[in-house]
Amino acid sequence: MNRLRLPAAMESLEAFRSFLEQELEQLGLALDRRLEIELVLEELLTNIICYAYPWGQGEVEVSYFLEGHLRFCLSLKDWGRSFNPLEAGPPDLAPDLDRRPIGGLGVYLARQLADKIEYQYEAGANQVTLCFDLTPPAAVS
Amino acid sequence: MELITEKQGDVVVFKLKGRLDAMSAPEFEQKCLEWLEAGESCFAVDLGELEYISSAGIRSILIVAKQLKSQDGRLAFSRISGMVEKVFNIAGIYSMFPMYASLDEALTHKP
Repeated sequence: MNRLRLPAAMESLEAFRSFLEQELEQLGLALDRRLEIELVLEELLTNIICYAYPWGQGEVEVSYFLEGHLRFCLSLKDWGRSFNPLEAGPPDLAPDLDRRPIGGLGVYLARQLADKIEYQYEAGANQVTLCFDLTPPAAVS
Repeated sequence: MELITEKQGDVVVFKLKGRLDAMSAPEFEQKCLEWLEAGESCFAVDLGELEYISSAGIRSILIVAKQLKSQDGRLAFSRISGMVEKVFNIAGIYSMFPMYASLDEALTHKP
């Protein structure tokens, strides 16, 4: 099974993580790359958990697929408030500790680490798909 | 996450192991703030065994760093590497703090 749907709650984070981790281990990815993909999952999940359902409870669905053995793609779907992560403004990265806000980094980290991101809002559902190149750029001839 | 805390001279050393994520960051933050409330203001955080950090971990570090600064304290890191180093860089916080190759160096380079 490459699809998992659970309540949009912090208690679901660990189940989603192990669901993804098993697949990433089978793909034989380097540890740091695996951890980067896990980070993207955590950032988008916590965003959905915190903001998608301001009126109450909802669900989130995580799925993954391979795109021609060249890319690993992770997809998150929720039925909450529409939110396009591609339209999120850049965070304030002030180098001065006094002026630096403590938050606002989650979606930015995900955008920096994924190689391709697509978003669509359809039939009342947000779906964001993030793809990661499996071949390191240096090895591409 | 595993967290070992010990006092070495006038420095509080935090040895982080595993994952500093949305689930574990509040615990790390709480422990740091407890030492601050106890009057300690010189912290060294060893990242050598930390495998993973997310924005929740960065957020906790920034909260603790701001508190320390307001009390004229100091926060240094040692043995950063791998994914954690990459996230520090993307988040633009790497250059905010003194970084040392070993915990011993972090402990001997006092302000």
